[in-house]
Amino acid sequence: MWGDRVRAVLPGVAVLALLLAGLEWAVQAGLIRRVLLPPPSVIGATLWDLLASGAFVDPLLATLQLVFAGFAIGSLIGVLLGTAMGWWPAAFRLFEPLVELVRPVPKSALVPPLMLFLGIGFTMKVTSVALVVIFPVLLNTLQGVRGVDRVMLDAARTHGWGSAHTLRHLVLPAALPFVLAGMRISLGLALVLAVLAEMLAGEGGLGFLILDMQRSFLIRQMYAWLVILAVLGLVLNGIVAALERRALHWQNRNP
Amino acid sequence: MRAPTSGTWLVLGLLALWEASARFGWVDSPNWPPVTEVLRALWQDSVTGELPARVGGSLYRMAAGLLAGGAAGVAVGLAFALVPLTARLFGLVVEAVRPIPIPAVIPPLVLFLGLDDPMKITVVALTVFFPVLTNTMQGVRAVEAEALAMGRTFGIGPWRRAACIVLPSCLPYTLAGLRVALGLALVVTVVAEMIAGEQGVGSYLVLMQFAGRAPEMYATVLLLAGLGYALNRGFVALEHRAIHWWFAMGR
Amino acid sequence: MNITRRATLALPAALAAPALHAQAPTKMRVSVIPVLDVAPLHAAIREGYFAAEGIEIDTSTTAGGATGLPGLVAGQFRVVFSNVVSIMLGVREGLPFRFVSGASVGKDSPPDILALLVRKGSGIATGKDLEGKRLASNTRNNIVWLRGMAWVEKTGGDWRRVSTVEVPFPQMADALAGGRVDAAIFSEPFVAAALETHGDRLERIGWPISETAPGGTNAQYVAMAEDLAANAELFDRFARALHKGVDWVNARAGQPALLELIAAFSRVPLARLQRTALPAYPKGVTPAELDTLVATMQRYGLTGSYPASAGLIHRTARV
Repeated sequence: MWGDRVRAVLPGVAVLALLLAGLEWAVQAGLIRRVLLPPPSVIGATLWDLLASGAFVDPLLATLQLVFAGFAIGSLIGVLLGTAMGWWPAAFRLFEPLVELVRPVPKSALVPPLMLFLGIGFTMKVTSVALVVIFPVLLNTLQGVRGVDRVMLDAARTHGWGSAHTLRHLVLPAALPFVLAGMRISLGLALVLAVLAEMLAGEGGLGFLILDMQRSFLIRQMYAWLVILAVLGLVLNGIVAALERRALHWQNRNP
Repeated sequence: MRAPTSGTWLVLGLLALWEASARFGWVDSPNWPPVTEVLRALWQDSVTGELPARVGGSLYRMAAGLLAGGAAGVAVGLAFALVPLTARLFGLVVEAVRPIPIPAVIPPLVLFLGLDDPMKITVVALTVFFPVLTNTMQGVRAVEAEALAMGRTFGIGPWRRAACIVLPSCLPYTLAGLRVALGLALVVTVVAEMIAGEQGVGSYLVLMQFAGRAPEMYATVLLLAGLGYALNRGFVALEHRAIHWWFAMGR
Repeated sequence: MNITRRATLALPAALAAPALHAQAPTKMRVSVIPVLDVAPLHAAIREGYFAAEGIEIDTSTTAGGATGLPGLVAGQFRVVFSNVVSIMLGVREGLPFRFVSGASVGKDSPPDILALLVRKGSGIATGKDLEGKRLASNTRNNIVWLRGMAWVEKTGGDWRRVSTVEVPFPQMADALAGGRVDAAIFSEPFVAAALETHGDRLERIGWPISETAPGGTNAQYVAMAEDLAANAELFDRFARALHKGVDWVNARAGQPALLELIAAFSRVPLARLQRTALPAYPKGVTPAELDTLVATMQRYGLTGSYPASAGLIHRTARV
């Protein structure tokens, strides 16, 4: 079991190591300016100091809190609104123009009104994360609900299933892969947006630290924090992928 | 012209609420101008030709990034899903790059790509790449079980399986990913233009933020909203066609 | 076509000394922020001073000074306008930035380009009152923040006990009026904008530059040391044109022509500019002003070893 795991991850790690070695060589050979991109070994040493001193815990927790709060709120709204819009044409007609108008607006352009109405604290940051999470989940849910096989729906009707029953036992399970794909996209976006929000109105968290290091030209430290951010992204993605496998497995067993 | 739907009324109602809240001082702030003033600013900078030229530039960068990132997303997605070795080799690198926000990597970005169109288009392409990749892989996985086994029993080779079974079957997924990416692409184009340079809607937004001109800033927001809506409508029309074709082919 | 044009250009150029204008103009990309401080650069572009030196300036606007400096290191810009604290932080980390010209310094007496604002009736009047309170600054570790901390200490407060919150300039007035922060350090033209729209609720309690370091340094133009060494003559021409722009601006201080120029490149409404305090526009950078600044930076936590100031000033800024 463990051997399989290691064998599955090994090639990816090898490619990553190869890339880092190439970068190390390029910087050491003077092809890339050290002050813009320090050699990975130096970044690694800085990273080790951060990890050993435990200084990474508080900023990491601050960012995680923001990501999960925004992701949970945004996903919930996305699934509810997406299901409603996919199932009831009236809901679709009511919300579709608004959704499509708000979706393409850069969230950084919405910062002035968000700050005006919600201030500069946690509420504003969670709202901006949730705003970004909503749309992929909503769109994928909509796509999933609408994509349910007509034949199955007709069959459900002839069997006398009510609307709620059909929604719960036919439509939502069928839409689940779509919903999960949307949530997986959203989780990546949630992390990006949480970091961005911390950059805009920063008092802590990974985003604030990265920008602060960048502005102070503490480039080694900046990259060390970026690595922490990337690892966080990997872990989050791994969790969603695992949940997805579980859910789909469960779905296949309970058709 | 169709009769306005309930959704149109909802949007109009919200706009009226905006106007009233600014006019009657319910929300009293220079960052909250009435919507009519915003529309006037939009009109003024449109007739001078400034905004149309900037929008054109932004659309070009968006389209280039969308094309590059979309193509790469489908190609890598198919490769990852069909040839597990590639996923094992490069999956980790791809996943490690995904969560890194653009403003955090401006120094290396500028270092490798400069500050002009190549940098901005790459940033857009990177953003488009991930949703398309995720959805394509998801799509391939969803068809694998049913159709692939059938294809194999009928003795269809791997290349034909990819072209005739996998690609058409995962089309709705890929298109859903592309549709998400389309909205993101416009946003990210503007964000990339905000980093540096004088071109595009993003640079206009920076200028107006520094000048403290709220009506012009919101004019940009309305413009992008309208633009995004139009783009999405166009894409949906295309998607319908593609899916019809898919039903005709696959089922 | 090209040959004939060069020939016709070569004749007057041969008569003029030095013969700089024979070639096509040299393009130089300059990173700027759309703020009051860059008025001389725009004046020199508009009045044709750069063209007369055979230089074509391509300005590139960035949202903040710290974006321009990495672009300079990466070779994307020849010259970058930035606030002095960001420049010195780069120098501290070993980046070979050299001052090509001064850009802006504070004036000796009010009105300053920076102002500390609070809500009316909040009872906050000094740095002492700000202890344990929230102070908004556009970023930490830049010149605005540094002057704010110096003001807190000058008026009897402990800067370590004031918590700085980052708020972008355009949002500061809302954050302050809405009670999200207790005080804010504004930079012009946002001071004028805030008092224009929130004048009934906000009041000014301090001038962070003239009360702590009259005429204190603010922002400069920098280039890379190796570029300056290799193309010293080009940068001489650049500085000559820019400094003519400084003369143009200084000769029109308080006149409508200057405000119209600023309104044109910054898009700030003319009516607001009439109530806006402008900086002084110097041509040079002195070792003394940098030494004072470094001492201030060390005092407020931006510690480290900074190289000797005199070596950072290129000959074009020693005026």
